[in-house]
Amino acid sequence: MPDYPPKQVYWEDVSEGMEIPKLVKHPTPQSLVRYAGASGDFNVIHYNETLAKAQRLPGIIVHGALKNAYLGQLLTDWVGLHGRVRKYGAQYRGMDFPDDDLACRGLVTRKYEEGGEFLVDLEIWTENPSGEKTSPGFATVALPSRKALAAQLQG
Amino acid sequence: MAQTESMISEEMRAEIGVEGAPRSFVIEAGHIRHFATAIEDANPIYADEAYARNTPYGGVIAPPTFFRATGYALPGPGSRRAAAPQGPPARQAGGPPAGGTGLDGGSEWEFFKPVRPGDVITAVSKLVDLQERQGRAGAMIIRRTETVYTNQLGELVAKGWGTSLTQYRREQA
Repeated sequence: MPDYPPKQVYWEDVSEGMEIPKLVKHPTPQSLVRYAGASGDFNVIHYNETLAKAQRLPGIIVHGALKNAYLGQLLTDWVGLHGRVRKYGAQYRGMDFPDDDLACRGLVTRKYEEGGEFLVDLEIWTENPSGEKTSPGFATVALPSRKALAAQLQG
Repeated sequence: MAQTESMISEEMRAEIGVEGAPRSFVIEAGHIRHFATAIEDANPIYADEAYARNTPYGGVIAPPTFFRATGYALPGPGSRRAAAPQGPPARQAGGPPAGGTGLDGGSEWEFFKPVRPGDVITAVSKLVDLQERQGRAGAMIIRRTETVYTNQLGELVAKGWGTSLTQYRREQA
């Protein structure tokens, strides 16, 4: 878990192909119940094993939206207080199960300036203990730029 | 065996692009804290006003996917949201035929403004795409919904896209 506020990353620190700090979550059955309560998503496949199996699932599964929330934290922890998450998303391709580690990871795919903003595109995903990408996704974030801050100070 | 008929009716297809009724909800500080705890995100920007006041945000904000919680928090009169908690808010009229099993296929978000306690957010959803896949195990209907969120000042705060999958298992012979 990072300390808050996290150390600020600047656009100049980023290079294409670099991996951002990994966030490992460990959802338990209780996490899924908490998420059901907080989000209002009371689909039984997330907390009732009998009913989940009746729907031909191997057991209760992690909410896709909870994985999406974890990926949100991966990004907000990385961009810090002076960066902004512009957009991101993920597809819930593979099921994840409680009590497994769920790693949230991201790779920088593009770094560019657009409309006066310093942007970074990433490939993001959740990864199960077998190393499979269960929720592949993408993100675009804006980061503060040392160059731009220095220019503002001089101006 | 008869040719497989499309499960997507003209009536369902006519829903594409039609905006649902706006739904409004008040963002509550306690609900934000509850949600941040549930996603096990200890960032004090979601819970600690004294910390948040000294950040560029100037106060507590909601986590990015908090909108996900607002759709369910507001089951208005006649709403079937609580009974069918799949995907982001969508108009029931364009829903898939009964008998299927719902699965969440994915979510995407675009953010324009932070959301703060006390904000009144209005969400308007529409179905933007409807697809059908026939596989060996049965049919699947794939619905993509877009939701636009604005605040009490009429500012666009976020857009969300959700994909919901409904599977119809073919009976084993």
